[in-house]
Amino acid sequence: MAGLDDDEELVAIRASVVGGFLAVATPSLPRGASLSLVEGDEDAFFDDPIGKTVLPPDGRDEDQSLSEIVFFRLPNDAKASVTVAIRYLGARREPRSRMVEIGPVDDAMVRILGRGEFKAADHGSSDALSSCLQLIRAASGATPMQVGHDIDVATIVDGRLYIDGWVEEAPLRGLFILSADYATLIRPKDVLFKRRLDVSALIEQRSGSLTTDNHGFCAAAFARFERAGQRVLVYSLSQGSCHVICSCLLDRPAPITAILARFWEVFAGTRLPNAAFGKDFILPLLGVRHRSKTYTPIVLHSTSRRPRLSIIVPFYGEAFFVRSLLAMQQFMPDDFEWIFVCDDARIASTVGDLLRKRVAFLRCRTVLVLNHDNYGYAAANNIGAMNATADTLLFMNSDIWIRSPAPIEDALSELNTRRWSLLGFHLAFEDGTMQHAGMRFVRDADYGNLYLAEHPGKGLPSLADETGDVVPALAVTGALFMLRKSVYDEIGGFNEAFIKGDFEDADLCLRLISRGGRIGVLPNRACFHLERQSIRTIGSTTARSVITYCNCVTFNDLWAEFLDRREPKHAGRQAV
Amino acid sequence: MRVLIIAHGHPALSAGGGERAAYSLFQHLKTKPEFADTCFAARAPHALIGHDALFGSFRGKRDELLVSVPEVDHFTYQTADLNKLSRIINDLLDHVRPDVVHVHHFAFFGLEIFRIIKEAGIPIVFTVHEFLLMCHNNGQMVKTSGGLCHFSSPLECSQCFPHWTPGLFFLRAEMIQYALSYADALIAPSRFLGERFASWGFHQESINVIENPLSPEMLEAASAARRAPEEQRRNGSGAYLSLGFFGQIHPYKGIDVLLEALRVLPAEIRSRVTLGLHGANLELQTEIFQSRIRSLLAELDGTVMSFGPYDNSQVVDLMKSYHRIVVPSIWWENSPVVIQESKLAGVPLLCSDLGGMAEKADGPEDVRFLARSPSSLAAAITTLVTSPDRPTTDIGSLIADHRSAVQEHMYLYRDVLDGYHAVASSPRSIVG
Repeated sequence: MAGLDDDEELVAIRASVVGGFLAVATPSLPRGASLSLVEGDEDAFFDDPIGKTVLPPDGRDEDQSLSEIVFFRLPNDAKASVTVAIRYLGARREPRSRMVEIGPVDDAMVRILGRGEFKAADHGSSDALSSCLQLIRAASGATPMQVGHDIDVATIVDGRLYIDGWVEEAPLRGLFILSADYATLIRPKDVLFKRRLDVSALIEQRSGSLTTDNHGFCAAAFARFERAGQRVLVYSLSQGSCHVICSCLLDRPAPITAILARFWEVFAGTRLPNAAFGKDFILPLLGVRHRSKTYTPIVLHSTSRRPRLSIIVPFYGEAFFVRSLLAMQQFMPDDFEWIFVCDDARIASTVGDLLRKRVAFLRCRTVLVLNHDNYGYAAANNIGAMNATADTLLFMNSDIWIRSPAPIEDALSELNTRRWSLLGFHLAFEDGTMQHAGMRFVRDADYGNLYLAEHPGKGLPSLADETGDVVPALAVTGALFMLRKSVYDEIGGFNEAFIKGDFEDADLCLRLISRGGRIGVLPNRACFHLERQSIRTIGSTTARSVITYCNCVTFNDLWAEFLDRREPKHAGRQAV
Repeated sequence: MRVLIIAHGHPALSAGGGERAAYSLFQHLKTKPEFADTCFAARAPHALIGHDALFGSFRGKRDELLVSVPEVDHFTYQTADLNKLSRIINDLLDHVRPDVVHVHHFAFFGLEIFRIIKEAGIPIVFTVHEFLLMCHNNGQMVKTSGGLCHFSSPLECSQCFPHWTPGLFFLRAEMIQYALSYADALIAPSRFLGERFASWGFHQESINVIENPLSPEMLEAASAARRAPEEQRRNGSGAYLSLGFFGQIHPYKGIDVLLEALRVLPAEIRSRVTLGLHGANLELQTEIFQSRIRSLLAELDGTVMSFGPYDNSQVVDLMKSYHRIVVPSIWWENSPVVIQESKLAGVPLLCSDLGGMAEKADGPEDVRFLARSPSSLAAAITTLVTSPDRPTTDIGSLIADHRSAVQEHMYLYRDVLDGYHAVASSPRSIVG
């Protein structure tokens, strides 16, 4: 594709973010020419516009070269710049492209936004864009409104805006939120409300009657283009007139866990939001996506023999278990390989120190993989698998304790019979009761009627018979399971759409089952899973619940239908 | 045969029962021709070694070594630096070249010491001193709420220390038991302690109940005193009772139980009782405890005399000035040295009816009372004051017992070395 730096139209192009969309302002283009975004490098993939706003010819200033804004969906990686191309109908001319910095909305763009006429593109839905532009236009003529309000939190999470507070009778106001730079806009339908009896009491003291107690509100932007210090305004659009209720400056970026905990505290209260809400609202908030996952593998000890088994242990939040895993390595065969994947920069130095200070006593090939960011449980396991050198993989949570190598050897033999694609293990709690012997899936009315994974018999005295046969199962816990690397590769490893350690195992197992694979549980009395028994910390549970819920929503999106067919007795309860 | 005794401290540098027991055994072995090459290695803080090296010798003695090792994690008792600990212990083993290593305590070294020694091909005898391995509350088997603990389990341990989950206590126990599986024989100085370890997963047959012998000097002094004409220390009228307390002034030692018992005695009885307190470290205890003890002492002015710390080499002579030695500990104890010493002094005991104390204070002249109960102790004192008979212990057989404890250690070393009891190649040899 030819570059055309001297192309007049291309040089004039500017890009900004408006209401979470990418807005590219251009002079009027020749007939037959259209604007596209280029994604990727030379293998150009063109993304077409979803609509545009065009200044009417009589509204154009003579010295103003820009006359229209073309809108695109904001690419995930659009942090600083985008590549824009002009294409010509019927290949009359080679496409021309240019990299454009994403900058602030300038006066010319404001003028086009305010006075331009919106035209939806022929293809794709542009309703969201259309309503966004209407709101921006309304906001530009808004007048102040005297109404009770307070902003509790307005901050940035991974570049996304998060805001909560209260406005008197909030649901009646048609609340929307727009940042002063136009980059972020939250539409009325995306604002959530919450009962605030304390606010009702306050208002009733002052003025009297109220039609609702839902004064609390909360909102989060999906696109991430906000900076600390940016001003954000809360508007009301009701019966055709637009007012500014209040404005505030965005705080410094907050950790996602703090905001999730806050969110849960404010809005989950007594019942969970519905599944669509989790998917549309919370997941984007959590949606930290890493385009490229980088890590540093450190071989702490190597052996001349090729390992028979690669044991992959991800670490997050707790380094204590390095001690127990190394204690276990003493009585495991020398030709097992141990891959510790540290997915948490906070504990990386502790994990590294504990390993390095014991390096003289490592007998097995031992690799420490330091992830350059927190990529989550699924990705950490996948990175571990990428570094594995054996033909068989054993995925193991760090809080697993295995008293002897016998069950691992038994599982290796069973896998070699080719009767099984994947083997899990009977796992016990520290008091000897059952922690896991296979999963089942049931819909839970208290959980949005979503399918949850259950561990039947959990907490009851273990009935595991060391001499018993492997028992078929639909799915097993990811805390400890073994499969051949070829099978793992074939199904594509863990699905990284799941966040931080829930449902990835069930998803992986169901992918295997849906392709005709066979999963079994190996009876034994040597394997323990000290589930969620890290050193107790305070304040992490609420964030944890939100994440579990979101993963549950993702899991149900993928597997509810399959499970309905597979487990019809549970499907019947869907209407509950 | 060359034995290396490893202790958590040198008694001259840090006086505690465990250090003294290890050193006394070393002194005994040095008097036996077959064991004359025995070496004593005590952990010492680096500052106490006196120079830059990680090793030093105490008073320049070639067979009394000081060793500085990396720190230990106080939950798992794992060393902070296994690489370094391994180099240090292997250097020590290369230097001493022992046939058997007797580990008298793992604290300060780290539990990995057993593996390091075993991988050097040397059999290990291990003496337990308290319940540190199974109890995170300073090995006392006393709940943090104050009650006695009868059994160590992850759930109950976590109730004492909510910061640590049951799962982590489970791992702690699993890791400790595996680390100890490298030892070839375990010595418990009391049956009571041995039984607790058996119930915690150790093979009963691998537990040898052998008393820690008191030092040769102490036995010699007691023996000399026995040969001297018996001093008539008692008035025989039963009208007067002098009690002695020896040990640290610490809540676990039950000093408050003893003072409270004296306080509740009827005035007429109390006027016929005196108590001599020999011990230190009250100032190290909590303010609440200090103030309680000070207030009791003020109330008991005229009954109690506080003498402060004592020189252990004089303990037997000091004890002889009392009618009874009181051991009112509120924890189980193992084999308290003070009981051995009072026996050697020929002074009968008045002690808590609990754990190692109940086992060791077993003479017909010894009196036991309900542990932790001031009223039970007060009743026992009242009976003794009004009792016409105050027998003294025949120490001849006691001295013989201590000498035979030394012999039993020597037999065990030979057995372990000859592989009679050894299951050296198989881990979990002493743990079930």
